[in-house]
Parts: sequence; C-alpha cells; structure tokens
Amino acid sequence: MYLPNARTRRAATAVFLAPSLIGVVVFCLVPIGMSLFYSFHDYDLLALSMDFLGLKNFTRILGGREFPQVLAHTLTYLGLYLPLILLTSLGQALILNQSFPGRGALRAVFYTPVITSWVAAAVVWAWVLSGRYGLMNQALAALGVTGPAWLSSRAWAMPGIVLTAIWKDTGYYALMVLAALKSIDPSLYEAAAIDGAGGARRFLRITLPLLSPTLFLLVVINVIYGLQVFESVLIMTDGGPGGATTVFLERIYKYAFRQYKMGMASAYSWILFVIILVLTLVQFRAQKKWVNYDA
Amino acid sequence: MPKLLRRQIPKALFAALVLAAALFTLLPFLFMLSSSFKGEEAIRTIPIRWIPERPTLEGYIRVFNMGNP
Repeated sequence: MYLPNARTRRAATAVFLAPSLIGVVVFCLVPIGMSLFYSFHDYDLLALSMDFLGLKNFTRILGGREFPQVLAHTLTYLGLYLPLILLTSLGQALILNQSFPGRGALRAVFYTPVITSWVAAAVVWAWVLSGRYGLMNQALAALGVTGPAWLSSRAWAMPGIVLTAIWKDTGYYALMVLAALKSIDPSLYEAAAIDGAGGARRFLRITLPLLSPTLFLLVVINVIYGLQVFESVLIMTDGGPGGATTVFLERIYKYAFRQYKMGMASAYSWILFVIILVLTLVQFRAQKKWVNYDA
Repeated sequence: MPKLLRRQIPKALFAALVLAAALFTLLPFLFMLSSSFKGEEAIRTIPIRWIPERPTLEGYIRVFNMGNP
C-alpha cells in the first residue's frame, strides 16, 4: 500500500498493529500485572474482600512447612524426567534415523501418544500403573519382578507420573532430534570413516556436538515445562498419596480454585516464575561450556 | 565368532530394541481399546485378557446416552 503522507502512514501502521497488540495487552500484560498486584493482597474470591498485605503472602509461603516439600517434589519430578526424556527422545530419533522395513508405521506409533489428550493418557496410565490389576505390574511379573503399588505408594507415585510423561512426550522431542540428525552433513561421517573412526567415536565426535544446540533447547524447555507439571499430577494422584506428589502448579490450582485464595495463588505463581527465570538464565550462561554452534 | 553371526547379532539386538519401544508405546492404547469392550468386572481379570470373554458395547452406549434423561 502506497501512502505518501507520513501521518497517514503512521495511522495505517497503528491500525495494522492494533489486533495483535490489543490481544497481547488485554490477555497477557494486564493479567500478568494483575497477578502481581493480587500477590500483595489478601484476595478472597468468596469474601470479595481485598486487603493489602505487603509481602505477607510471600513470607507465609516461603516460611511455611509446605514449600520445601513442594519444591522437593517438583525437583524430583524434574530430576527424573529431564535425563530420561533426553535419553528416550535421542534413542527414538536414532532408531527412526535408520532405514528398516516398517519405519513409516513406527513413526506413526511413536507420535501417537503426543496427539493423545493428557486427560485420557493419565486416566489410562492410572489403570496401567494400578498395583494389583495394572498392565505394568503384570508385565514386570512376567519378567520375575514384583512391581510396586505405584500411584498409591509414597515413594513410587512420582516415578509413575514421570513414566507416563515419558511415554506421552518422547515422540514430540524425538521429532526435533530427528530433524537435527537429518540436517547433519553425511560427508562428515564419510570423512570420519575414511580416517578410521568407529561407530562410537563418530557418534561422540560428530553426532553429539552437532546435536548440542537441539539438546540445549530440549533442556531449556523441559526445565520450564517440568517445573510446571500439572495435568498428570492432578488426574493421577491429585497430589497424593498423603501429599507425596504436591507440586507447584497443583498448589497454585488448589489455592486459586479450591480455596479461592487468589492472593496466595498469585504469590506462588510469582515465586515459580522467579525460580524458572533463574534456572533458565543459569542455563544460558552455562551453554558456552557445551553447546556447539559451529556447523 | 563366524562372520555371519557377527553381522546378525547387532541386527537382532536392534530389532529387539525397536520391538520393546513399540510395545511400550502401543500397549496402553491396546489396553484402552480392549477395556472399552469389557464390563466393569472384566477389567480386573488377572492375567489380562486382550480379547474380552463377553464383549459388550455397554460403555459406548453409556457414553452416548450421558446427559440424556
């Protein structure tokens, strides 16, 4: 569109920007600002009262007995999930990068859990992990292992949730790793083979370094998503048994929509935000040590 | 070790790995499908029966009638 006049040009720009700008302001910036405002108040949805508390919500959460447990449970989830998802998605991508009969069908199989709804997956996995009737323990029994009671055991509930998340998410991240594998120049492998490098050395010296930007991305987004684990916990254990799987988003949800304490929920959200921000900044600092952008 | 065997063993290990990964991914779906044709009690049989003894559409009928008076 040709507009000779500077003023009409500016007006046209504003009009074209308005739809997305209004969306960002109304649905992102304003709610974020309001949650910060609420976090300093005692905002009870039922009483419809709002008293200024200053930092009392934050000191109540950080000083309470619940917080160290919630933090420990969330970090346990992340600590189990992160290395496992990196291994399984790398493994799945390496499998799909080979050529063998049935590869197309296998790609579809591996991706199916990703397009399954979390609610359906969690309900079915709660059955699969059931102590007495569950498929998992029947499979383990066939291998001569007596499986734990999974979701009704304090120690095994979180590993059960992690296992479900691995089942559900691997296909998605494997797709990203596979794309990175496909973009590696095959001539690098040929040159290395001529120089006498074996399979293991080619993997360690070519594949892994050239995958490192993708692996870095996977670590960053999985730390962020892992700290926000929610649907699986809410449906499979609801924070139980006996509070053994309480995690950040589960707490935030319950403060907000079971107890209607919006101030507490907002403060909890901001604490989580700061934790995620710090961990992500640390990772971006640390990437110089292991991520390779040369190729 | 004979040369043929040395070539075949990695291939067999790879096939076993692929099979294990595929089963891990697929079995919950097959369990879902099989259970959808079972009555409340039949879900709890040990060991699991993949083909229901007395298949029923009860579950499907209930889902479609949900919310109807």
